[in-house]
Amino acid sequence: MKIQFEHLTHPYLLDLTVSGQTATAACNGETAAIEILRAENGRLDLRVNGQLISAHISSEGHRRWVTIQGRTFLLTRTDGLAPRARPATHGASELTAPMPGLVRAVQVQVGESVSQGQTLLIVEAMKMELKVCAPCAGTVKSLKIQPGATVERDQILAEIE
Amino acid sequence: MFQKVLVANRGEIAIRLLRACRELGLQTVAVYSAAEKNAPHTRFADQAVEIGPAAPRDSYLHLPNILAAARATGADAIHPGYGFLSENAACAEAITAAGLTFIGPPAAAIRAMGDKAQAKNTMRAAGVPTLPGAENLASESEFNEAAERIGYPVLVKAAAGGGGKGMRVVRSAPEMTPALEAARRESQNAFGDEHLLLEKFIEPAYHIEFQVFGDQHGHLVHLFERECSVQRRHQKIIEESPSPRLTPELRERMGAAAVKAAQAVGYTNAGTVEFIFDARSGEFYFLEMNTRLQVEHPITEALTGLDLAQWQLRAAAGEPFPYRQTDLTQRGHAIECRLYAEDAAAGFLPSTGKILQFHAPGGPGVRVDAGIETGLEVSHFYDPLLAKVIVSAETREAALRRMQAALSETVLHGVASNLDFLQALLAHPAFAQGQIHTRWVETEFHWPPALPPLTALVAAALAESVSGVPQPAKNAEANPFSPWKSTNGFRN
Repeated sequence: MKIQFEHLTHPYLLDLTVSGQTATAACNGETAAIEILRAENGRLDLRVNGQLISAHISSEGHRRWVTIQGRTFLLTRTDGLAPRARPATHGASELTAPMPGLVRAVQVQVGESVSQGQTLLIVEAMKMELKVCAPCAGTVKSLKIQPGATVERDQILAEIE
Repeated sequence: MFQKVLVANRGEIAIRLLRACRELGLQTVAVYSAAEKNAPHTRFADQAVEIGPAAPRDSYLHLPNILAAARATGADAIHPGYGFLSENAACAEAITAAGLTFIGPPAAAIRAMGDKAQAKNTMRAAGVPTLPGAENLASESEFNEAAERIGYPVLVKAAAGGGGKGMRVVRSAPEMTPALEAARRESQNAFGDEHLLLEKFIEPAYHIEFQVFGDQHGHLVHLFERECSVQRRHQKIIEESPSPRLTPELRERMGAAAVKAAQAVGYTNAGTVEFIFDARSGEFYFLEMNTRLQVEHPITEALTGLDLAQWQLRAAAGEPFPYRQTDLTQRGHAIECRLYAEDAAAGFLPSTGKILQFHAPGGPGVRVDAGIETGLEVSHFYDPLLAKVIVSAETREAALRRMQAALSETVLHGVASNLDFLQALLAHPAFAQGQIHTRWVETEFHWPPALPPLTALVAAALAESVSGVPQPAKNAEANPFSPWKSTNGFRN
């Protein structure tokens, strides 16, 4: 079974064969013989190439949180996942929320022309304010939010063309 | 002694204070915003009262609602914790005027230290070293003369300033003109005021603070230092005590200065005097005083054996503090790491979400003050501090190893955190050598997040075949892989 992951935008293709309580895995020329010793309550005890390794795992949609030997990795399963949907906006540039939070201020209006780097909105989270600036010069084609709105990370805030 | 204490705070500090009250046999009231009905701190109190909507200004910062909660529950004292209302003199006065005990310093002391310029003058008059500087300068030649007198490098700073805006470092006379122009322009844009002042620029600078404690009977001591130079964007990340920088002689001088600073404003209860330390000259300068309990107070507790939160309550009730300066000693070494909900791999931006798994470390000399638990929703409304891990051991080396072991036992899933970043910091030779100054993390530390080892990929892939893998209860997102989406409501 081939499984595709992404970690900090880098793709990883894992080749995994599971047979009962044992498995073999290969990725980027590295291989491992794995024995699954215990799997419960979000914890996985493995013997990997003879070494005992304990992992903590959590799932959230396509995302997998893995803590292993004191390090935490957030992996996204990308197999079968359509490439990130990008609506056809004909050259319009989307402005997305850099972090989840509250829209403190919207400093432009639809139809207004803006210069590159101009502050368009201010998003606030956890006592930190972040300016969302125009990536290019253009005209504000649409505004998707109002001041006081709660936004998720990567949510589209505005379109510039 | 009062009978019932309302803790006007949230998260880890609310829990810490509610525990202190409970151990002293006091009844407790927790308060919470509409977004935190199920937050862990609400369960550490005898009663819990909702005080308004999620936004802090409508709840945790809204004194009328907090006073109403105190009246409704019959609480006779309020502990503000840190942040929120803790350093607001008007609030302290209003609480006292309502006939309740404010657990903290006198309002006058909060006010005297709250105005930074006034505080600096008060300190100078009291003989506490302050940063050499000059104000009310007009012409360029006046700036140049003042800079010569103070000695380069100097910092040109907006008088109305804050947040690093309108600041320029000037290292020699020819740099003065462009620096003044740029700082004036920035100051005018940010504050509508172009007045500038001059201050000695310390580099490298170390942030060393002293805990002070005073009772209501005129007795005030210091409880030694905390080294807080590991910072990012002026935010502390790791604190330790003793400071690797201080000699016993310096410690005594700085401790005496801290006591003098607190006495100059009639201070009682717990407070912290912050100093900038210049390692090159061995000089230290008053920075500001925090008129409250600090986030990093546990390392002082670990070293002195005192329970500062309990002593805050006891001193506020009028109990004399029984220890003289000579009774107090530092024993061993303590380190605190702050676990923040910020994505260290993505520019340290705040991160929110539901906590899918949280396992705190344990063992001898390990203390965890956490405001989170599995299943909790971390919202963007509040501080990114999720938990503090505090360790103490016989020596600095042993404490460092203990912290590294403790962090590697810690599991936090669902919200991106700085856990791996903390580990990388602790593993750096500069930390082991005690060389980290306040700008080190930003200027000298480069942290590439680790690449996932093969085993991590395998574990992620096996998540499908493992029972009871924590996942959010709501599963709004379509998940083509999830074998247990429709059947498994398991959460642990």
